[in-house]
Amino acid sequence: MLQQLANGVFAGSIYALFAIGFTLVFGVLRHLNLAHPAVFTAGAFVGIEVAARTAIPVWILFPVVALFGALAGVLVERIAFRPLRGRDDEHFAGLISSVALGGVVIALLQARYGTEPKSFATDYFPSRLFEFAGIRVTSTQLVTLALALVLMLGLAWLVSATPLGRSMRAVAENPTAAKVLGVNVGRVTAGTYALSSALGTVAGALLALNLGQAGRDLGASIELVGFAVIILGGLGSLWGAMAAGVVLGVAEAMTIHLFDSTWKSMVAFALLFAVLVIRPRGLFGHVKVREV
Amino acid sequence: MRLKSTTGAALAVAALLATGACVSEDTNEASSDSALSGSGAGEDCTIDETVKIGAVFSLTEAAAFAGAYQQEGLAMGFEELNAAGGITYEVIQEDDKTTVEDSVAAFEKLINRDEVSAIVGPTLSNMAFTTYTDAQSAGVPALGVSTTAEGIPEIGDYIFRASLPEEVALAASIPAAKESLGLTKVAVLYDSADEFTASAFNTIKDVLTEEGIEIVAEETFETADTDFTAQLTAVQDADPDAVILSALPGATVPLVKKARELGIEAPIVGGNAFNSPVLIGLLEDAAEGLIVGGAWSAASDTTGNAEFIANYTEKYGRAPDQFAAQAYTAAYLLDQAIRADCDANREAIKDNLGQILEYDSILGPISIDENGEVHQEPVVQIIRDGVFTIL
Repeated sequence: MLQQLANGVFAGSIYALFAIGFTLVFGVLRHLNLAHPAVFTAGAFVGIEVAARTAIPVWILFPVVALFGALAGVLVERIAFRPLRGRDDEHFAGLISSVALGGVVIALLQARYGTEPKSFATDYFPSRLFEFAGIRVTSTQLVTLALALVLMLGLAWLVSATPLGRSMRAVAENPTAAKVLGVNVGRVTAGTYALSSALGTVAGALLALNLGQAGRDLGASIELVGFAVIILGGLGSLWGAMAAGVVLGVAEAMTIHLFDSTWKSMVAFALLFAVLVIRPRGLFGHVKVREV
Repeated sequence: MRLKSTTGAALAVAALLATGACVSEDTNEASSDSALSGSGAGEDCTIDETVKIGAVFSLTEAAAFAGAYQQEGLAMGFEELNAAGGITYEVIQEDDKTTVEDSVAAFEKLINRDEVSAIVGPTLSNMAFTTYTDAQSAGVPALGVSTTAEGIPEIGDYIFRASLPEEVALAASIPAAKESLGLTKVAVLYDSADEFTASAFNTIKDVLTEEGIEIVAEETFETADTDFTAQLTAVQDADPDAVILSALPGATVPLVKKARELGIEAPIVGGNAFNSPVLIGLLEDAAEGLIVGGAWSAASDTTGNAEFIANYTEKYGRAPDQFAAQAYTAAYLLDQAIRADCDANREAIKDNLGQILEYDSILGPISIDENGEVHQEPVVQIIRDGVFTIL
């Protein structure tokens, strides 16, 4: 029981990491960036390649992957969203162009890495098994949880207490007013994308480390659960995405523990459905709903 | 602008109609070419015209792990046969990109444009269900080399396979594992979202009941899952003597790695998906102790096996796997069928392919019955010190 609870928290922390990157862009800019799963997948492959080429330790690997993610995020914004800015159908067109860009990214990954899944070398980060109070935990799970916590708390701090965070919140509230008040909206937009994609790529590399391999469908496989987490937590809410990630992870693990593994997705999505019916804005969503 | 797009659409519709028309014209046309029937019989058979054999494999995308080996194995088989003389084969290779649409297009091209005598492939059973219906109605013999699903040979009298069904492989590996490891209770893990692994699960259950082995945990997953920890914890808590796994190659690696990482030391028993040196390479140390049922083993001393492995490794720079071995065998089976009446017409191949008895291949003695089903002894292997060893 406790073991399964722990399993759920570990699985959920990856869901949460995927989801906060996505929800950040939506929360600040009202953009649905559907290239996020592809960037996530790219993070996994880049992590594996960098690890294989340089043999740098894990705590340097993830900042490198994050740097790559930040660059990718700026590019996603430049290519898929900026050219559409100011159009009537800006949000919908951006959604479609980001789907297209996601496809391009996956095709590029295939061109570079081929169709077979890639994995970290076994001796890159040898997983050790620990036991605390009857709960078995592997070192990769510990790294995942620690990194997820650091990143989530760091992001929360960044948004609430730094100048960039303040401008992000200003843009989220009212982009025009923020511009009038001297906020460089272009820079804030690029910064938001950079942050979002950095989180996404780190989550991708973490999942690859946990799973033992990465295929081109890595992003697609977490996409649906990730979106469920975002909705469950309340679209645009960072705390919501974090909490919902863990809730969903635990719900899945407990279903396996108490019922049957076949019911796993059913229970997870029934939970989503129930939340939407009882509390349409999600666990942490704001009452004010803005039309996109 | 609007006019242009309408014209485009009209053209597309016209093109579609045209292909449709082509297909219906050419089907059911039993063409017999006298140049394809030669003189002599058996080993002395000589056919003047080049015999065209179509091959449809998944060379790219999801099933490329198998298709690439199949292409190489088949090509090598026919090269050897060409060198032996009498009949000259030409392999026309198509890639179905692991999609049903491209597989159908490839079959149509091979049947109607290239007018091949027979087709080998496709790689995956779910494509075979569609393409074999086309081959059947066009009267072209098709020989599957990795189409292990139930119901494939039943599609028609032109459909054959030289690929050991997953059920047979599993049914052999469980009693073998029981005998050598003394199993009394096992955990079963299977992919519930895949038709074939789910059907293999039913076989597993039947075999376990027959053998008197108790199932202490029964867990499912989906290949696309990103986390298997919860299921494996349930397996671990049940403390089984062995874990029986029915998974596609995509999920096998992360599952086995994770199981070992969590400290599950029980032997893992699997089917065809385990039977690949690529898998051992990816699993590294975690591969130790896996028990694999399959159609071919690098370790078995069947006729010509050592030579096959040596030649293949020299030619392609990597060791062959079961997919390569089965495709290689397919070349020889087709040759047998053609040489039987010294006739490479579609009808003759169809008549003779279903009458191959105890042909001594690298897979061991192999037979194909008149229904198109393969009969051979499965090989059960265990991975010890990183190499496949016969159990």
